[in-house]
Amino acid sequence: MMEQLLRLVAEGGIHSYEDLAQHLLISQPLLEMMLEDLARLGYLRRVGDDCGERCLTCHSGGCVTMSPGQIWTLTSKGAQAAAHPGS
Amino acid sequence: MAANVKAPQEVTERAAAVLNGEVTLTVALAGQPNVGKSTVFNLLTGLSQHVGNWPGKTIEQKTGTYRHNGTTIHLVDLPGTYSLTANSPEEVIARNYIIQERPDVVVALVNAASLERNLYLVAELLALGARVVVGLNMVDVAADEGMHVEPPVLEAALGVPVVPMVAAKNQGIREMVETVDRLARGEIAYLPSVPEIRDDHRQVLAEIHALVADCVPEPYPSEWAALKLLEGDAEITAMMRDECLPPERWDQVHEILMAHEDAVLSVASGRYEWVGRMIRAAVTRPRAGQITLTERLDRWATHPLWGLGILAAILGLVFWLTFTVGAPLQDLLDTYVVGALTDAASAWLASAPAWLSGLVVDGVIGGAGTVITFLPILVIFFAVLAFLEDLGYMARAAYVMDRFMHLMGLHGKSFLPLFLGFGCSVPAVMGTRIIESHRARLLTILLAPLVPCAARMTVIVFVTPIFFGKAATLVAWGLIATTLAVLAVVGVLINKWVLKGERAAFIMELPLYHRPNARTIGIQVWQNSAAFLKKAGSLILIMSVIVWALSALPHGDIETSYLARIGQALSPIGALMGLDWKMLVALLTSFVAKENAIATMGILFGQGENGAGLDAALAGVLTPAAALAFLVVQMLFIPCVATVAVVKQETRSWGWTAFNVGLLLAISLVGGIVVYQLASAF
Repeated sequence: MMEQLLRLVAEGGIHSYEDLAQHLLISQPLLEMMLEDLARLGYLRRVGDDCGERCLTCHSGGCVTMSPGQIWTLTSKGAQAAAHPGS
Repeated sequence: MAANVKAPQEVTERAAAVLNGEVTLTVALAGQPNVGKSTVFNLLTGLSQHVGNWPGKTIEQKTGTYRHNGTTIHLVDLPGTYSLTANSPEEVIARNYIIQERPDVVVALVNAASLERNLYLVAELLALGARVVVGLNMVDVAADEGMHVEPPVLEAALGVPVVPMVAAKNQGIREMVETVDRLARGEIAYLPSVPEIRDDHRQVLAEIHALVADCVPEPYPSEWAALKLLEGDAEITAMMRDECLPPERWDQVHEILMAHEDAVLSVASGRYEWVGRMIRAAVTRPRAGQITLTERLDRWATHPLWGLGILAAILGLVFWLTFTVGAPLQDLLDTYVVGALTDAASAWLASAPAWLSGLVVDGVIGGAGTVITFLPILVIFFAVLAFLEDLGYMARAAYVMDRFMHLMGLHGKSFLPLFLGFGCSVPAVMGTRIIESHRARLLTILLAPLVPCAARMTVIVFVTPIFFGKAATLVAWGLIATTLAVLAVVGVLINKWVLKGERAAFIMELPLYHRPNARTIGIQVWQNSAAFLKKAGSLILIMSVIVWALSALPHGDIETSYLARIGQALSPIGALMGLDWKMLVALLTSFVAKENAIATMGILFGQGENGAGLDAALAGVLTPAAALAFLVVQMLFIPCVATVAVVKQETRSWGWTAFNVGLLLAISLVGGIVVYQLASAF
């Protein structure tokens, strides 16, 4: 299931939680757990974690206003796992 | 995948002893933090509690006793944990206690309203071979949220007793105690459904188990230890490698593990599939209310075509609101605050040296003071954006924009940093750190300054109403669209020639739409406005003084000043865009901070011939075609110095930094000339 999730993400583009949960036939809370677990294992990375730090050095403060919701991206390890499942 | 802590015969003997009242039962209370463990523990043990620390740790250990049916039960409150994967000291304590102390029963307290997360822990407890009773707590909260959990169905699916409870109201506690007692006495059939590792790695697990089984020390279950090795559990790996396995045996295990590094995904997938099955069997989720509203709205807001239309309309609305409400306020501030301040300072400094009067009135008030009059406009701008973000719309905007950018052939992973650029180019450039490919990252850095930042938009908001009246909203919208089109064209070319169509991916949370919170919006507006005022009071103020000094030196006449010489040297280029040297200097000073363009205009054009204000002065020296060219150049011009600094920092190359500045300079000048020539022709 986790490799299937990585493969879906690796297909490219932007995926919402809802899209992925529907594809995997699971609930969104379960999907969120899987995302956190994949991040802990180094397959995904949460984007924008250092936003607050960046804003300290940014004069405009625009970072605060323009931060969208939670965003995840594949790491190279995740991309590799998606490309070579079952290793 | 299961590993029994106690052999069946041992359990039977123990149950018999319990029936005879010969032993004290040990029950462990497991669960996530804030699931109500302490409430249950306090209800059961009352005053017979002992509080200390877990051996060798600073984590609190609570134990106590209670009696039921003549049996004394020793209750141990395990630390709150989300799993038993040894990610934290709490998890290590909880699992080591279950392995080494072998409690008769483990009560897994779960939150019925958040069952997925809680069942993952149950999956790990069952894999460990613990005899589990599930305390399904907070069923009232789940019901309030519209979730329908069926305890008998969950019990049948799990194969372990499930007791619905509301611990906070002392409901279900007695039933839980009774169930624990009956399970310990062997009166309940215990046939747990244990998560299985996925088929593709089952054989691998068997191979590892065969290699380690005879070396796993008591009381660790050997199958569980093999599973943990496959999962890459640091503690078990170190124990087996350093203390248990002969070196040659470890080498064999290690070789298998290295060949199956991603086996952890199979192990975890097995648990998630197991949790998913349980949830599908026993939980019905709400399909009404907020979720349906979000889904209904998203059919439009995230639609590839309508979503873009809605985004464009919202952007237009933001500018319309800003012009309609903010511009009159800015005029009032300009007239009654800056104007009054100018008059007061002029009167107060009437007898002071001319340079001091010029510095204060023309430099400080005319420059930084003019910029501060934009505060109402920015407050509205930031408030509307914060409102949209808190409403949950900004994530949708990102979602549809990404699709749009893919249509344009842009690299998907470049989207987020570019999106951040609407606020400020600095975080946009720094945001490119999410891109692994050095080449893709470099190119995104080069594109990021093309996204119109809030400071550039400030200049648009000021200049467009002066020249375009009621069409100002349309012109502002068109300028942003043009800038994004330029960005897209450059992106398409880069994608085609350098990235070769590579497509990366994101997962984005689209939060539920909800009523925006006034306090959240207020905090964001305050933070952004404070940052703007800080900038106006430091960087812009200093630059205003420098610009004024350059405009006054060496003879006190602006037309023969150093600034004029610089501007006049650039006049041939300005002439192609209908811009005089003062407007060119305004552009040049925007290199320090984009708002400086306005501050410089404030200094160079003063209050107009009859004190009619900067807007009137500008209207007198610029044609609409030249104003449009100025705005196009300003939108595409070289980034501010802070952005250039981070471009250098992120690219670690003066060459690429210079290329970036040069590229944007060329694009902006060509854009300005083309727009002026076309606008003049019509």
